[in-house]
Amino acid sequence: MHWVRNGAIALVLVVVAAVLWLGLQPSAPLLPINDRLGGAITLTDQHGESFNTAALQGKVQLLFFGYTHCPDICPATLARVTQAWRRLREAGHGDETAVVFVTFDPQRDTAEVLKRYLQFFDENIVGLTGSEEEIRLAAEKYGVVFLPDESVDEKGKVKRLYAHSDFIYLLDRLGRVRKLYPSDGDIEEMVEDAKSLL
Amino acid sequence: MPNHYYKNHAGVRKMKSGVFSFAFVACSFLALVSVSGCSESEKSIEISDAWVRAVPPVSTTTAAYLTLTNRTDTEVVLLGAQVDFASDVELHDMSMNAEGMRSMKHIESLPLAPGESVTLAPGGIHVMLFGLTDVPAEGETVSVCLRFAEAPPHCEMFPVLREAP
Repeated sequence: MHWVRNGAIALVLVVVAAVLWLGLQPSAPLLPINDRLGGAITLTDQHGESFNTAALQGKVQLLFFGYTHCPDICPATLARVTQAWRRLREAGHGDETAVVFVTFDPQRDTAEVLKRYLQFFDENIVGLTGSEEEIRLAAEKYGVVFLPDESVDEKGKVKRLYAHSDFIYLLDRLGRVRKLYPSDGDIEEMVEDAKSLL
Repeated sequence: MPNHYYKNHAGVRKMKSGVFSFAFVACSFLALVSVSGCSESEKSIEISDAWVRAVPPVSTTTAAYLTLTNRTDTEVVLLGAQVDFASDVELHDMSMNAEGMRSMKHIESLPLAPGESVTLAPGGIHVMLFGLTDVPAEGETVSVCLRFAEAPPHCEMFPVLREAP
């Protein structure tokens, strides 16, 4: 019977050692929940259908506000976010992640324009537009500020750009904001943070 | 205006294609022995890391970026640029306020002291291309002619890329 008792003790020791070893492993710091920002928004997607972002619950999301006539920051940011998403999909997390682009220029960014614009980056990005009031409410939830900046050139042509905040938002599976990145945020950091929420 | 330039339908000054081709070949040859341009007044204005951002075909705007170095012994002033695929080109600078709001500002000119180098890059000063008449596709190269206050235009072929080279 000694061998049974010794075997049991050895097994217990192995289990205890394994638990201790796992507990000592460095783990990614838990991303805090930002409860001042965020929430589901209902807008119109690039297919012309009503879309509530609550439908993305269960997925970790990268969300970004911008506009398609933006020459510098918005295409650069979309390219970075798309790259991060590609990396997540390559790691097998395609079904658990999503990218959302919300325009704050609904006059020019119709569903059709958004569809053609986003296809260039990734046709699976969710593009959202809506009425000016709907966009204003959605932006408010995320603390996004945007101000039209119009100028008239010597030929009398009106140019409309926007002064705007340009953060990228990382949302967890419950749609809670967990981290903000600058528009030139590190792709690797986004990927690792997103993985820590999966 | 020298007679090897003409105005296209949008009023944009453009080199005649034959002259341009000759100039481009000549510049390319000279680039093998020097990084500078082709005429006496241009040869000490150096352009590097030039590229135009590839944008979706539905876009009406994009931007060009480069590093410009003044190798002359006098100040040069960049006024803007000319391209044949956009109706309007302006120099813009980007700034961010304390609340994290980013805005663009049209700048009339960009002076470079002798020996000075300036990088036009995403998120900072850039050449803004409005009213794209022909959206350049990724992988193409396009001619961008930089305009200076006291020097003739300096044309370079810019690659069209999604990201900085």
